[in-house]
Amino acid sequence: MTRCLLNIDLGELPGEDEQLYALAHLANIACGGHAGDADSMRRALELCERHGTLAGAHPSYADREGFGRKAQNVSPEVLRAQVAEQCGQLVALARERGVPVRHAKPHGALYHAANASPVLARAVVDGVVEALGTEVTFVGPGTGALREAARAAGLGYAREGFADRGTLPDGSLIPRGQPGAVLTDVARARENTVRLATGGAVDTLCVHGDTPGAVTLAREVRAMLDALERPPEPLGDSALRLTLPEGVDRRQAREALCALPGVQDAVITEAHACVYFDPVTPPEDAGLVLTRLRVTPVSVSERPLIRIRVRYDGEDLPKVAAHAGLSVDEVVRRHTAREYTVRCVGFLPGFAYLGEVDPSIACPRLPTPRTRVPALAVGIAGERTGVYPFASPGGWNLVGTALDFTAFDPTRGAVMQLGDRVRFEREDG
Amino acid sequence: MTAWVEVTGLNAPVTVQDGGRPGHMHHGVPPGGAWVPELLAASNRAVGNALYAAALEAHGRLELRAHGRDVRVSVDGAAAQLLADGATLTVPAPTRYAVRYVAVDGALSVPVVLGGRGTLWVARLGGWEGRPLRTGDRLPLGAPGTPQEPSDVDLARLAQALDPAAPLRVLLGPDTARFGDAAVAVLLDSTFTVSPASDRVGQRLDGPPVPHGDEGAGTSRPMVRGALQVTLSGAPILLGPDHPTTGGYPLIAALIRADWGRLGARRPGTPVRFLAVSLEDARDAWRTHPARSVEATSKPSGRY
Repeated sequence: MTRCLLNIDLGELPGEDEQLYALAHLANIACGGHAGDADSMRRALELCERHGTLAGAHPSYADREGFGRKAQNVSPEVLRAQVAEQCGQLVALARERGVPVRHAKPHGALYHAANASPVLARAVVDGVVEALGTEVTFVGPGTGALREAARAAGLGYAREGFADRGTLPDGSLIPRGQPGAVLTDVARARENTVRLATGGAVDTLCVHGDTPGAVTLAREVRAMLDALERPPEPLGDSALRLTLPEGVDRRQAREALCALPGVQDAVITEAHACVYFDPVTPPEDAGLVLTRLRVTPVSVSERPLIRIRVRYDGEDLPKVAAHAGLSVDEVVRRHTAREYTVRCVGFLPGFAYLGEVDPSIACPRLPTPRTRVPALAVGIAGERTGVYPFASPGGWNLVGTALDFTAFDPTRGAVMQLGDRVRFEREDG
Repeated sequence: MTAWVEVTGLNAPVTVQDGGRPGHMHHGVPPGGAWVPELLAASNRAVGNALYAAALEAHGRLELRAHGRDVRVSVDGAAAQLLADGATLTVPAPTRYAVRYVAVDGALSVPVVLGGRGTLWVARLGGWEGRPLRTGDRLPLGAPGTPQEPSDVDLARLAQALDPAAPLRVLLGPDTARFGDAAVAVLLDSTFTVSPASDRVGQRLDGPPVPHGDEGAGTSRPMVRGALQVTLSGAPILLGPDHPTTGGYPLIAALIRADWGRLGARRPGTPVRFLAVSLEDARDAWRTHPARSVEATSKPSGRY
């Protein structure tokens, strides 16, 4: 699959959220036709530079009152001059900052009118070329006069789809003003994103900066496109390794993957998820399941709190203290001061990776693992801490021993499960 | 307990194994299952059991005595032999493969733990008291079914699946980029041998060192049976049925599902060569493989 980029119309409204620039791959900057002036263009260019967003021109009919939403009766020659002037203004300001302008996309009514008229399309393309040259990509509808004109002029062309617009059964957009024209529902926009980005008929997706909830929507669409860019990696023929998107609830992620037909098990690790299945019946869309999860964090206060009493007698405790430049007592205080959450379960039955350890007492794992660590030893490795459920080899720094604790129950499995909260309590004597 | 088999002698590790306990990796519980699944399946079929019923996985000589009823026994999928109530059978140490399977009709009725009856020694659970068998252990039997005479076709397919001269097929990746082309070339162009330092956790190979890419992130990553890790010394290790469910080493390749048994069957010192195949080839090989059973592919029911 080729990469599908997110483009957002920007520099249009006062008080625009800066996050939109961080989320967009391509910023279509209003350059005075329907909106925008020198100040807004400067700000937009500065934000593009700050966030590594590609800056482009967003020319329009000269119609500030109507926000460029209504077709204007102008001759092709006048239109060409308007487009060239608008793009030229942006490129002049961009040159001052040293920001390249490498794409252009017509706005609103012009987008649709020019696509239906070869003469107008040619006028728009000529205006763009006059200001920006031929080393630009034209962003426009998948088919129609704009594409033909851009190709004839030797420009690159990116076929655009709309993540936040509803479509009719024939694939055309539901006209604005009709029910379902603008999708504000995140789940539907996500579905739309996957369909468009994987369908092969579009190269870039648009989110309108002026749609209600634009930031939320743009974040979802971008997360989805990022996930599609990192396809599942086969781990042999009976497992797929997936990149775990940042911010998803780890427990929810596991449950969502397990619910897929054909999935026998799913494991969450620090940065990945993995699904297991019979090689002949792989799950169809494991890669997309994670991207469909809400990025908003789930309240964790409902998750069980597990208290573990610890005798701090581990043989590496003095070493951890020396590494931290702290007293042993202070290391213990900091180890017990925090509530941890189970980030993953793995390695051995019931072994829970707990994070985050206070960075001041984090300590790298042993260069050579011990061949035998006793059962219930409490260890620290990097910013993770955990309890060895069984005697086993292990490379973590041993700081103590868990008392009256069972990490693995043969009838129920791991006692500490993904997302559970854990606290250590000091026990002396 | 109305009928049982008693272990009256052994000279090497013997454990109870079955089709494993898939679906519990998220508890850190490895999938388990027979080291050579097709050999277990063939033995069970010959005595009329479900293909992945609990049976004995033996690394050496084993003596059994039947109690309470006559017992039919298949060793490595051969036609069932009758062991009369009170009589003793000596099963010689495996010579052809690294392990051998002894299935009895009605199967070993040891308790189900986390959805499986197999022994998971690293967690001291399953099987018989979570440990390798000892002389004097008495293993209860289930109700017998109808033995099936193995066909020549079945036995030929089994021998082909476990052919000690055939290459082990792998899918390269997912971390091949962290190793580089030279490492992949060493892996695919060299002949390794199975190291005696192998167990159900992992099978080590001796041979030319494979240049390792990096030391690994140190953070845990998902693992799978058959995953091919390379240690810092360059020795390849293929994860076995009782592998740690997560690990930090990058993976240069993973054995295809159809060749789990082909690897497990190899005795220490046996040559190993790797052949990279496509995902499609891997699926085709598995689709008609003698270790594949419909029951083993269904979703595990023992969820909690």
